[in-house]
Amino acid sequence: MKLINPITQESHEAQILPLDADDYEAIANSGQFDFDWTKEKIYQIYKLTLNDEEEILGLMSLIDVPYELRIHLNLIESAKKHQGREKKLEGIPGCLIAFATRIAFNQGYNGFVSLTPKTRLIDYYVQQYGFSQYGRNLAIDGEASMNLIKKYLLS
Amino acid sequence: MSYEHHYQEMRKTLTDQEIAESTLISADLTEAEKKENDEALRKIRFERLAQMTSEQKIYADLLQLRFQLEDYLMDSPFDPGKNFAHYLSRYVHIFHKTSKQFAEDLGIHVSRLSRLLNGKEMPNVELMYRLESHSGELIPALLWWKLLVKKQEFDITNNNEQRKVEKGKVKNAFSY
Repeated sequence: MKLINPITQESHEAQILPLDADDYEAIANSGQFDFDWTKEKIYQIYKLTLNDEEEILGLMSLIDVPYELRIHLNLIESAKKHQGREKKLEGIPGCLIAFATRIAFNQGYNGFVSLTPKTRLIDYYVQQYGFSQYGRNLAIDGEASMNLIKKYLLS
Repeated sequence: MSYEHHYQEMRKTLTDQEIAESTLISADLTEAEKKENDEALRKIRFERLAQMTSEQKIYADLLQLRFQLEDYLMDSPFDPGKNFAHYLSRYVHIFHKTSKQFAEDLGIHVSRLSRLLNGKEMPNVELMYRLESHSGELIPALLWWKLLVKKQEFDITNNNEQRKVEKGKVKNAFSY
């Protein structure tokens, strides 16, 4: 998977790995993440880094709900320097969401990923990632999930 | 601190679009709301499952097989049980066809399919291309090829008996 520098259009190979226990200290000391990721410990947490680098660029927590054959996305956060108009790299949440859909295929859930986002952000997530809206919830599966994988993980 | 609090903090410097471009924030729900919402999600999920066509089920199963195969090739040590025959057997099972029907799909004799499924014959590149095409390009030929290579890597590294036999046939081995 690749992350793009929005100014130079230079691409950088990235990877997603499970978070290690000693990453929490690095996250807290980096000053790059506002959410309290220790509160997400009860869920599965993944980190996005550039290949062969340790600096964490993005984090994702998700919940496997096997009895409903779905993955529930709880939280994604990009490092501060990759937020807003001055961001250095783009595509971090897209790669993490696509990775979640890949897990959902791998588990035999037909790529089904759900989330219950803040209401004000729903339209953007629908437009950007192809989620379908079901009341206050969003979900994606099947071909739409595979499209995310093609766009963010296989390109 | 709640997700809402963090969201409000972010809004001091970022627009909603910028927030959504860099984060995915869940709504803060009360216990009652969460219970109600979990029920709604359950309903959505089982409705989607009930609506799946047989083609969509095949699509889902093929992608499950593909990603499991990719993960095995990338991250796992060699496992003799996870050989070409194992994955081909899973592949055939996805389509709910008889061996005869499946062999016809691939344009091979049913006895050859049987040998492949029993690990008595290794596939050639032509067969891998046929499998790729048969899967609607969802499982690339290269993955089947890498599966063979993984076994060959293991064999060539660990077949000390054969190594010893072949060593005995070599003359004037370079020594430094």
